[in-house]
Amino acid sequence: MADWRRELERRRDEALARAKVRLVNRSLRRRPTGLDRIAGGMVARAAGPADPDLAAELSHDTGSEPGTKD
Amino acid sequence: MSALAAVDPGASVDKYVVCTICDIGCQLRARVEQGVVTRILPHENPVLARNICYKGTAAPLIHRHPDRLLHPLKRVGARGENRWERIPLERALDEIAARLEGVVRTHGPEALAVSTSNWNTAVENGMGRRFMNLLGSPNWISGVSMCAGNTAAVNRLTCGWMPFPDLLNTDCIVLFGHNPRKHSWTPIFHAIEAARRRGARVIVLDPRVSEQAAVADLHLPLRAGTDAAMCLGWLDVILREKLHDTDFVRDWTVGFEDLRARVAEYPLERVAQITDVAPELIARAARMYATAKGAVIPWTPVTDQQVSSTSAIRLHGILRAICGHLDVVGGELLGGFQPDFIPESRLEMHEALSREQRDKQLGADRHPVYGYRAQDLLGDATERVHGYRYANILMGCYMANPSAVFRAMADAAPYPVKAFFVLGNNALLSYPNQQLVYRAMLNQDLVVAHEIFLTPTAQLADYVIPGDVFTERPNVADTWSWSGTLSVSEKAVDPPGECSSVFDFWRGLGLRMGFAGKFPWKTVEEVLDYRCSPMGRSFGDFAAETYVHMRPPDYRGYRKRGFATPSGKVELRSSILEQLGFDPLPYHREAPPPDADFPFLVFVGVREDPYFQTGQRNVEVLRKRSPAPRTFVHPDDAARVGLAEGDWARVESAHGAIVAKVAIQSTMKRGHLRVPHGWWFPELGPGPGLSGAFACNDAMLIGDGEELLDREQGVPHFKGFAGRITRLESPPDLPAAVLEG
Repeated sequence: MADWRRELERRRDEALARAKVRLVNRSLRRRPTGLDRIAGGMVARAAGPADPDLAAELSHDTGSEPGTKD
Repeated sequence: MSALAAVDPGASVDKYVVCTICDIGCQLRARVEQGVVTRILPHENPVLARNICYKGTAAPLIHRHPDRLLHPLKRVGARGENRWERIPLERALDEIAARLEGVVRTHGPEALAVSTSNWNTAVENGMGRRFMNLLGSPNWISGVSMCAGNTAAVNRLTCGWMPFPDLLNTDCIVLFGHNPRKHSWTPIFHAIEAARRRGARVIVLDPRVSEQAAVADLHLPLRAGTDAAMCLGWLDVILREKLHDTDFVRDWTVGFEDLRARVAEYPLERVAQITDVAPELIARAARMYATAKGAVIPWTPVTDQQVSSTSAIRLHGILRAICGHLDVVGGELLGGFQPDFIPESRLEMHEALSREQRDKQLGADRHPVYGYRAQDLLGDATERVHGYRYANILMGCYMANPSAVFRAMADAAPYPVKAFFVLGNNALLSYPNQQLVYRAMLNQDLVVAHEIFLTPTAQLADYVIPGDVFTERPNVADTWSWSGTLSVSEKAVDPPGECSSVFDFWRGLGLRMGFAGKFPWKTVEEVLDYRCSPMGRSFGDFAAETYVHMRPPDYRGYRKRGFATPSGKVELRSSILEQLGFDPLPYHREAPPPDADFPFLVFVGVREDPYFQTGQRNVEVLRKRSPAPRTFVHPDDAARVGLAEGDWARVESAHGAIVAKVAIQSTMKRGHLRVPHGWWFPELGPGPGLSGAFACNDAMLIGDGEELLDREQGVPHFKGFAGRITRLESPPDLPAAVLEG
C-alpha cells in the first residue's frame, strides 16, 4: 500500500477511535441530554448483552443481596 | 445540588463510589439508609454496570465488621503481645511525631522507612512522599515494587512511559500468565470478552490451562519463569520473517542491529527447549501478534515477578515497538500526564529531596532501576516530552528496594532504619523473605500502622491508627497517571469512631514536624479541588457532572515530542542500563533449577477470587468460598508423591516451609505447584502467634538471595523456584474450621 494511503487510513482509524472515547464520555454524564442517552445506548449495545447470572453470583445470602435493577 | 452535600441521615440515597477492595477501581453504587451503607450495588449506567464482583458487594460487611478498628491504640506490652492502651488520635499523633523526631536526631531522616498500599488507602494525594521528601527519607517501599509499579519504571527506560492497552479497539490480546475472570480483574475480563465478540484473537501464555487459556485462540503452556526467553523466540520469528514495522524501526528506535544480534543467540529451537513449548506453536503466536492491525500485551504481575523480569518487561515493550503496536489504534498508548488533573507526581515534591539523601536510597547500589538512581536519568527527557521531570507512574518510579530496607531494619546495614510506618499494608505477609521482615519489625524503635483491622503487621506496631474506607471519603481515582481516566468517588457516610484517612495522618504529622506551610490543604476535598483546578472546576462540580471521564487518546504523539528517553526514541538497547553497568540488551536468565531434593517449580503469588492479597479472610461470606489455603498439583505429580485430594501437605523451598491443603487439578502443568498468596487466620485472634501469619503464607517460601533476584530491579523470583511437597501424616495445628474447609 502506498505510504500516503496508509497514512490516510491511520488518520481515519485514529479519528474514529477518538470519537469512540468521546461517545463513551458522553454516555457517562450524570445529567444526560437526549444525545448523551443515545450515545449511552450505542456504547451499551457495543459492550454486549447483560449477564443473567451476575446478580446470583454477587449475592452473599446476607439478606441484602444486590440486584441489577433497582 | 453539590455531590458533596451532606447526607440526610433519614433518607435512602445512592452515592457513586470507587471500590478499593482490590486495585482495579470499579465505580459502584453505595446505598445509604439511615446514615449507614447497607448495600453495594452495580452502577445503573449500562457501560459500568457489569464491573462489579462479589468482593465489592461484601464491602458493607467489611466496613461494619465487628473487628474493625475504631480508635487509636498504643502498645503497652511487649511488641506483638497484644496489650494496648486506647488513646485519642491527637495525642497519638503528638507522640508519634515526638518519637520520630528522636529517631531522626539519632540516626538521620533516612532512618524512617514507609510501606504503603495506596490502592487501599487511596486518598494520600501525594502527601506521604511529600512528608518523606521534606523530612529527607528516600526509603519508601510498596507492593508495587513487584506488581505494576516496577513495570512502569522499566517501561520508562525503553519508551519513556507505561503503555496502556487500547482494549476498546484491539485485534489481538496477549496474556502472559494473566487470567482476568468475572470476579477478579473484572473490568479487564469484560473488556477482553467485548474484544473477543468484535473478533479479536487471544493468545495465552500460562503453564496451566487457566480459564483464559481454555478459551484462547492459542495457548502456550510455557515453563514458569521463562517469559523473557519466550519473547526472544517471538523476536527470532518476527525478524527472520521480516514481520516488523521497518519504518518505525528506522525512524523511532535505537539499537536495532544490536538487538538483532542478541536475538540470534535465541533461535527458535533453543527457546523451545527453554520454555518447553513446541517451536511451531511459538512461531504461530509470534506471527499472530506481529501481523495483527493493533495488538496489546496488557500488563501482568506474572512477568513482574521473575528473575529475568527487567528483560521480560523490556521485551514486551520491544515487541510493541518493532511490530508497530506502540501508541496506535488498538495497540498500547503512551498517554503522559492527564492534563485535566494535577498528578500526584507534582504533589509529592521529589525536588525537595537533596542529592545526598536520594543517594542513600536503600538497594540503589545493586538494583537501581526503580529508584532515584536510574529514574533521575530520565528527568530531562520526561520534562521535554511530558512537561515535568518526575513521573511517578503507578507510584513505582522512585522506590527503595524492600529487601534492602528490611535488611537495614534488621541489621542496621548499611545504616540503621529504626522507624517503620506501614499504611493499609500488611507488610509482614506481603514481601519475600517473611522471616526477615519479622526480624526487621522486631528491631524497630517506632512502628506505626494505619489500618482498618488488627492484621499481623499491625499487631507488631507501637501505635495503630484506625483508617477509613472508600465509602467514607471523597476521591478521584486517576490510575496513578497510567490510563488518563478519572473516576469520581463520593463520600457516602462519615467514618466511624476516630477513623481517618492517610491524608489526615500525613498532614497531622507534617504540621507537628515543622512543615505546616507545605500542607496548605486542610481536607481531602480541598486537595481534590486543587487537583481538579486545570478543568476550571471544583471537585464537587466535576463529581456532579460525570461518573468517569476518559481522555481521548493522542495517537502517535511521539511524532510531535519524541519519546521520553535520553535518545528521544524507543531504546531497544537501553542507554540507562548501560550507564548503570548492566547489559543494555534483554536476555533470559535461569533461576536455580529444581534438583533431587526440591524437584518442583513453585509458582506463588496466586490470587483467589474471594480475596485481594492478604485481605478479607475475616469476612465470613467470602471465607465460605475458599475456607482454607490450597496448593494446586497435577494428578500425575500427586500420584507420584502420594497425595490425595484434600490431604494436608507441607510445601517447602530451600528458604522455608508452609502447610496447605492439596487440590489436584488436571489443568496444572506437570512439575509445577501453585500456592495462593496472603493466608493468615483472623479467627485465631491477635497475640504471640500473630494470627497464624507464619503457617500458610507463600512469602515464607520465597528467598531473596541474589541468585533469586532480578539483577536490575532486585525483584524476587515468585514464578518457578525449586520446591517440594510431602503429605502430612497428621493435620497441622490450625483452626478446626480451616482443617474441615
